[in-house]
Amino acid sequence: MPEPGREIMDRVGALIDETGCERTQLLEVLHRVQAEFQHIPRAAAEAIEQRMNVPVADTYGLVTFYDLLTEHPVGRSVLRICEDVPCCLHGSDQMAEEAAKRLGPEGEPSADGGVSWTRCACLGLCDKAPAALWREQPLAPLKVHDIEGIGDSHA
Amino acid sequence: MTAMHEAVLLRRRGAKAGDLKSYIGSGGLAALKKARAIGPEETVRILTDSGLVGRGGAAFPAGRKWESVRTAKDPIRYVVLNTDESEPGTFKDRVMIESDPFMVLEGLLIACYAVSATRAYIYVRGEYRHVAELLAKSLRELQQAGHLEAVGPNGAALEVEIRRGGGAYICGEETALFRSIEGYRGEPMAKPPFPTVAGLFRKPTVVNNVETLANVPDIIAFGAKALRSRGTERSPGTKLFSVSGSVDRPDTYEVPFGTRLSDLLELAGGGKDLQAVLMGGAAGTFVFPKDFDLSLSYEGVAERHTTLGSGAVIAFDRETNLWQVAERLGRFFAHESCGQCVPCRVGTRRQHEMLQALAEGHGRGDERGLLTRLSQVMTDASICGLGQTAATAVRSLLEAESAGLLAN
Ligand SMILES: Cc1cc2nc3c(=O)[nH]c(=O)nc-3n(C[C@H](O)[C@H](O)[C@H](O)COP(=O)(O)O)c2cc1C
Ligand code: SF4
Ligand code: FES
Repeated sequence: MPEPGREIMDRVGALIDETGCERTQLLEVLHRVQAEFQHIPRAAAEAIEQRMNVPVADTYGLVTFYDLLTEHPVGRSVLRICEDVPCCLHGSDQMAEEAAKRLGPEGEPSADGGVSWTRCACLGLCDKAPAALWREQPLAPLKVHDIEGIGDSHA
Repeated sequence: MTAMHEAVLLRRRGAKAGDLKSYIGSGGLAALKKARAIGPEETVRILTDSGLVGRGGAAFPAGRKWESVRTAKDPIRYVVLNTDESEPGTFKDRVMIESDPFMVLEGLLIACYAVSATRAYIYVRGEYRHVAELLAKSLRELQQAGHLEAVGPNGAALEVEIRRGGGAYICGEETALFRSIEGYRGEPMAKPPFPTVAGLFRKPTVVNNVETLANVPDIIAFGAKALRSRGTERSPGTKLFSVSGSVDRPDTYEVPFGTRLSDLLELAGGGKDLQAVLMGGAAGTFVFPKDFDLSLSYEGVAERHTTLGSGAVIAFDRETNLWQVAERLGRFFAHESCGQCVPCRVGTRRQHEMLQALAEGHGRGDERGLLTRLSQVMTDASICGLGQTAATAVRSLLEAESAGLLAN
């Protein structure tokens, strides 16, 4: 049986085959790795070093810079709750409290790995405040029962 | 009501938004055809004559930008459509694209043709997946119908790449955006050199905002006068404003430059009992009712020491504690600073700490003086616009407080 790191490296190699191995594709590659593994595993950074000639340190430089990339696993589905001014005026802090109550600590995946939630910066949906993204699509205005529904399906 | 909501850019908003047939049926793509008939030089001349200035916040004349890239020596050039839209309170570029993706894309194609771009990049913030998908679909339809043919240099078909951002406000700053496309952290670079000289991949590059390029097809199709028939002498045309906060109808509104702020607020169903608005987003300034009669034009806001910025207008009722609002702005900047230069990295953190203390009402008492000094340092010593404007709103709030304008 191949070791898990090997499997990840092979899979990331296949992703790089799709995008091309030039440095300019790095963010796109990392988006795809994040979508598949819910974080950027060390083995992925090593595969990127081998195939794209990008040092592991550089990959983590991007991972720590861009909010949509994470060093540690998040849920397969992520709820992002905007915390900026227009949403704040429309109760986004209470939504975040609700999420903490029903979905657990911010950034930590549920027991089944299915879902996690996080606060985020303005989503450009301020006309529908309080705004959120659920599985990368707008969920706005976010309501308590949306959060309940997400919590119930990952209890 | 005196305000006129004038749908020019947003005239196709609604039922048939994003339908190529009805876009062409209502005059779409005629401007691209005309541009190709009159040639790049004349196309740029019309744009320059129109007086169109960029809508991304810096208000730079669009024609001048295009002309420097058109006449650049390097045969490799790029056009970048900046769809990073991440300024808090700003959503007009999203609404523009949702209402009429083809008008934005036609503007992009005309830009590429006019400067003989080797390739176009559309940089869409990572959280706008739905917007990126709409752009990709619309682009595919244009390509399949042959409309990208002969738009590239020397009669080649134009190549357009859509790139998704990683979730970082700073990547809307043009040089940070280039770094991001190139595969690096989005850290701004000192200017000069300006993008028109050494931009993406160090090649001459036009970067334009979505709303800027959406203005282009009408200008080319109907001439420079088309833009100048609306707005003011120094601010021709219409402007999209994202109105949010304590108003009944938060939305994107299109009004001619020169419209009064109070009329815009009335359109959005606010106005009567407002304490203040924040103009221009997190990097803007607070404006109080005594100035609600200001003219929404570049000259009008300069007169009242405020800014149009990205076109964000966030309204606050009298119950809102503006120091709590400032705390949220401070949090945003502390989070979004790229960390590259010390005044901004440390300054945005310190600013946020002090704003937190003021918002919670347990300051040490010296915060106001320190915030004023800090704002001076950040404004003077930061590399890019983020650090330079991170204290603008706070400073305007301090002044308003001294003048006794805060409701609580
Ligand atoms: C911190 C910062 C963020 C910015 N974000 C954006 C943005 O999201 N969209 C945009 O079009 N311009 C943004 N800009 C302005 C761009 O740097 C650039 O001036 C603009 O895209 C040029 O287009 P225009 O001439 O059509 O306005 C930002 C600038 C700064 C300093
Ligand atoms: S001012 Fe702030 S955001 Fe801009 S380069 Fe410096 S640290 Fe980065
Ligand atoms: S402030 Fe929440 S979406 Fe803009």
